[in-house]
Amino acid sequence: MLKVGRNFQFEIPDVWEAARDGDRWIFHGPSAEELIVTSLFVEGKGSPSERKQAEVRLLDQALIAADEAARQDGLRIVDRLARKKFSSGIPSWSFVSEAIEEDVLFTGAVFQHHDGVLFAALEGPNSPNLLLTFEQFARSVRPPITDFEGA
Amino acid sequence: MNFLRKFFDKPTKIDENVNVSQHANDAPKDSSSGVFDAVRPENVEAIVAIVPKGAPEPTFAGGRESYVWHVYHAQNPEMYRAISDIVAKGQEKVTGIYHESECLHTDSPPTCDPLLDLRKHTNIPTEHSFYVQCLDVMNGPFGPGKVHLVTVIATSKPVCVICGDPLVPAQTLG
Repeated sequence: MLKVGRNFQFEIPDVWEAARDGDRWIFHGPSAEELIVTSLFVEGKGSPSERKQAEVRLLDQALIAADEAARQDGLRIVDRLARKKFSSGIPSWSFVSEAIEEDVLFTGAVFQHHDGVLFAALEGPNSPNLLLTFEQFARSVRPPITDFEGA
Repeated sequence: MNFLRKFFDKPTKIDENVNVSQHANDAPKDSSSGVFDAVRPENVEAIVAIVPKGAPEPTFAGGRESYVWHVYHAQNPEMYRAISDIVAKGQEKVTGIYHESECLHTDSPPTCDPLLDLRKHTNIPTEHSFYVQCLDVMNGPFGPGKVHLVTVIATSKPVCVICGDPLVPAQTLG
């Protein structure tokens, strides 16, 4: 299923179940995976420098949130939050953590495009397949095909 | 699934507002909620069809026989239903604006930019968001493969053009 927003689009396998929780998308996969996607952008009027500052702050906050997610109690960082280039080419940062008991993997990424950020995190049984699943999702995150906004 | 829910069940850093207080007066008044509404009659400003030169004008009023409806019905049933509801509940808020265009691109996504022309012919505020869908009318009234019908939904609240749901909440400057 394709989801399209103002700054991003992404794809989720059709067999996954989608639900909304307030502002967020929640997806459940067939192997007990759970993916949460949230996306925000800067809105309002201000000078170009003020807008830019707000956009920088929004990205900073998203990166802080991702880092905090990776460092939760009970998790061990496998790959710390760092810049990672997925195939779409938009700026992105990702992390991988695992449960201390090593039964659960927890991975996520922040994407930035125009005045928006997208933060996605995936949790599921600890297996290489989970990372491949997230990689596949991350590769699908890209500017929307209906990117006429602000024309 | 402890870690994911535990993290998102409380406010996260990403949800904090990026505040520029001196511009609070200019901020859209309902953006602070951080949630955009779906396509609903109250937030749709216009439904616009751009058709090629010489094409008959589509009709929105009672337009269930118009090709606009057929296109939506065939390719986007959810949006078709959403627009049907809009028309049914608030006809006065639906403005059919027709603009002759030579939009005959066959690439997808389209490389044309109908909004530049559209803004010249409408008084839709520039701060409103436009979502554009360019559809092939393969079996439309103008012959197979001959017409690109560009439909534009201008709303005060960005929504998903695929399903009509809100996708992104907002951070506001003020």
